[in-house]
Amino acid sequence: MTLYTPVVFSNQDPDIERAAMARGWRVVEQESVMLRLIGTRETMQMPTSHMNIQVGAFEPAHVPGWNAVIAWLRRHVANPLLVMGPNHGLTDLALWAHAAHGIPHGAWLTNQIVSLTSSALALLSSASGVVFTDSKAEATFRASWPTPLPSFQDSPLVELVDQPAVPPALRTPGVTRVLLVGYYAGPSPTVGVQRINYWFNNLARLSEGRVQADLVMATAWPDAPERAHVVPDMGPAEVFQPGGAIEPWGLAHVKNTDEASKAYSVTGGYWPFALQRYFDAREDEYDVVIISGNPFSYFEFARYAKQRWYAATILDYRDPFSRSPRLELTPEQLERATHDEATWNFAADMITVVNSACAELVVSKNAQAEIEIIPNGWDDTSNLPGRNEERAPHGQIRLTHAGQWYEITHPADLIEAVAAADVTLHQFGPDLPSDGVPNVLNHGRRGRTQLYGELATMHCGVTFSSAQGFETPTKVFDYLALGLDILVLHDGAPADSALHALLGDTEGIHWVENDVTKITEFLSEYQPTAHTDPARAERFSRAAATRKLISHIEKLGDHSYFPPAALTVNVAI
Amino acid sequence: MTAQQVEFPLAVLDEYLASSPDFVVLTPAYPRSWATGGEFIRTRVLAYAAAGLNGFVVHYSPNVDADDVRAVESGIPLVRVPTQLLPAVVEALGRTDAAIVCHSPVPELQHLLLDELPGRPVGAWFHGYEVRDTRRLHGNVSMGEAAQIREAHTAVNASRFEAAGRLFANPHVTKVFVSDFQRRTSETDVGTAVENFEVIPNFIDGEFFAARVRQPAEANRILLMRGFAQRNYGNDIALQAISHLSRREGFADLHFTIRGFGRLFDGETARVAALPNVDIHRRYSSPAEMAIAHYEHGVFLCPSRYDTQGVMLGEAMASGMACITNPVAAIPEFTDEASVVFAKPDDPWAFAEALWYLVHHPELLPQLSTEAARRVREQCGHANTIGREISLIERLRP
Repeated sequence: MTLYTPVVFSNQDPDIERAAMARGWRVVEQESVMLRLIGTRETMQMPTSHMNIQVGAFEPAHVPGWNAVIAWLRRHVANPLLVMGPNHGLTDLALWAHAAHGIPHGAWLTNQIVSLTSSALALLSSASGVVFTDSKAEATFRASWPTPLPSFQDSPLVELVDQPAVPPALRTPGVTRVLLVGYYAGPSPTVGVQRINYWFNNLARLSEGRVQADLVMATAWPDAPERAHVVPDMGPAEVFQPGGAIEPWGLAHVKNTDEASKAYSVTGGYWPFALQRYFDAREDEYDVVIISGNPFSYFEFARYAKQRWYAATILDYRDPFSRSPRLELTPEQLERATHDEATWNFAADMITVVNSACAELVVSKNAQAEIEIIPNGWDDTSNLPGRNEERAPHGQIRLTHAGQWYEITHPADLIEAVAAADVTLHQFGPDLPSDGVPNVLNHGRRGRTQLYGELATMHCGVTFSSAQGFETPTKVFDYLALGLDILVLHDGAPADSALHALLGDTEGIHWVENDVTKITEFLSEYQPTAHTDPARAERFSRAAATRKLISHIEKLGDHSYFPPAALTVNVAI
Repeated sequence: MTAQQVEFPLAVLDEYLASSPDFVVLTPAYPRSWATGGEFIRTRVLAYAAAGLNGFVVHYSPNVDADDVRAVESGIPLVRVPTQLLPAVVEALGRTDAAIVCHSPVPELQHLLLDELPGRPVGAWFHGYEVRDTRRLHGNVSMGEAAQIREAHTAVNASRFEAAGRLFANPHVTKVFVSDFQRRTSETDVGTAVENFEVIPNFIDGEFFAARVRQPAEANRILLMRGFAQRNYGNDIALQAISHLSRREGFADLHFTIRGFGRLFDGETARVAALPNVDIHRRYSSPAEMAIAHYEHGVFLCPSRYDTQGVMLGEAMASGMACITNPVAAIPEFTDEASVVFAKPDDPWAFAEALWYLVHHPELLPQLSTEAARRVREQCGHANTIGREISLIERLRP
């Protein structure tokens, strides 16, 4: 445990200055290229008035000048911890100071909307703590942010707990060592992390000890399990060497990432270099490395995994990346995204997706990388409410939709039909665009346990199947686990959809065209059924899908030599 | 070199063309007594000459010494021209009825042949890199290096594939690939199906690499001899395997020879340098020296991450060595489970297990040796390589 002195770069925001002063923190004010520690006459000149590495504004010639800024801070502040706004002109200074000089950082947020640049995402995802100046804005921001954001203590010095080192993963006879790589994992409330979390928690159990897994993530996991590595992502500052220098490859990567950001989200695009630095300093031995998205930009790490550990690599896309029907890309953007997807896949031994429609959308020129389907599923280790629980304490039919909604399967017709019907629609996750319709109730994000509890009181879960029919969303598995009816609102032919292939003739699935008239007709006739037989859901559990993954892991990670018949026959002779 | 200076070789070219050659080989690389590169092409040209064909080689290069325009290498006339003069070369070739044989044609030459000699039969040999997405060799560069070369490699790919796309679609140009794997991946990378192609492997000289059936007692005489210029050669896999086995009882009874050269040699061999039963020689080996090294050993380690044929492997097989390799890229086209030992790709531990198995089953050596020598002669012997090429050259004459 180490004590640090927060140093707030206030950007002349009076609220954050007040909050910092009230805690006894140091505050730096900026005028053009001059920095001054408030309460002193100490000033320091910066090489430039801002630092924006992502757009190539970090000149190697300025490194000594920035190093002098760090030295100035260290001279006047014991154990500084830089606290910066996510869209401050010096956000990258905090990231660079962290990556190149080991100075931790935090973030301050006001009621201003945050522009989610690469630097802002990195600053927030790797912050040791945050401070908010507005409690309402804090609640809103926390509800939408995909990771836990620890708050700083209200004291002049803040304590940071040193993360215990994870013991090296060493090769053991009879055991396949797996490294799971996910930018978001652990306590993140995003739905995507359930897949990698489940694998991390259950690979050993389901393989009867033959597969042991480590997990590495970019985002914080307080009190993480022993085999969980947290490697923060300093974003664009990851291309710097300790001491602050930047190599030509770093400049090139900044330029490449900036170009890629014009086509797709580059969240995590710098993280492979953080992982490389972290694992280069360790003695781990992994047989198989599974990199799970989204985001996808760190799939480049497969190249390192092969070179460092001779590991077999699995790129787990889950859903499509560059050819996702949900993206509306220009031809130039599509070309860039498909090019990069193909690049990552050259270093893959296997590509995994959640269904056959997604498999069709993979971009790969690597014939040696097999494409395999590992479906999602409901978490059979969760303490789910009983399926026979009394539904709906009153007579009104309760529909629910859990998770994100997308433009290509817009919920407008559903909302219009619900508005005119004697039903309620309960949304968990990002709000539906209901525009004040009284029987559409947006509940925001919920923790898993609370969410399951509330879903279990519903009659029918709603999901969408687009014209392309590529979706098999996690929510469907949760609806099945809880014994709900399922309303599939489809834009394409049901029989052509991945969801139809998945669900087959499962009871209680209602396929209705995503059209206000059809939905209205359905709602007027719908009679709920509670599905109490556990057999209905069993084959859709994560355990079933994970067993399939285990068989691939054991095959890819096997180092044995088995002589072919052509040799053994002659040996016998 | 100025525009005036680059005109000098054309008189030499005209002089050679006046001798009514049967073929003209155009190539961006050709070996000299003091320079390597293009040995595969020289082997072919000498074989064509031995078959009674009359021809010469045009070696084009961005840098040509004015004193080194005309030469005769092993009896074959050679003219060296600056790349800038390719338009004039192609124009001159249009006035002859010699078969035009291009090896690894640069994009500029491909466009010239199609634009200036439309309908003229031409043979275009692709050996690998010319029509391969550079990203297939992803393991050769680190993440940082990949970032640094991304832009340049994307441009190189685009230029190569644009030219090759036109050439692939042209039925008058016979495209020659050394393996069907290479043909398939080239089609994928270029994005165009190949019209009019032949798959003709590189010639493996079974007389030069004379077969000797290996005996069980030779299982402990183990040779690793490859280039160490790039990681796709996979030497690190075999060296890691040796290092891994060095902790096993019985390892001291084995003897290893490691020979090669290239930028990765010192780094990759360092992990086994201290082992008393490993001899390390950093040097180039002539074909004769290679044949001798084969003769003195029983087992050949030939790991690979990518080969469009695997000529080094083929030569060791021709010599009758018991080979351990990886079934990657085109290697399965030239081997099978009866002629080599396959280890799981890119896996030093699996490679070690395969070697350990062979060492402990030395009775397999005669069988592997015999089958390897037989197979390589059948598939890559004169009739199936040079013989087919000579037949093609005859068809290329207008």
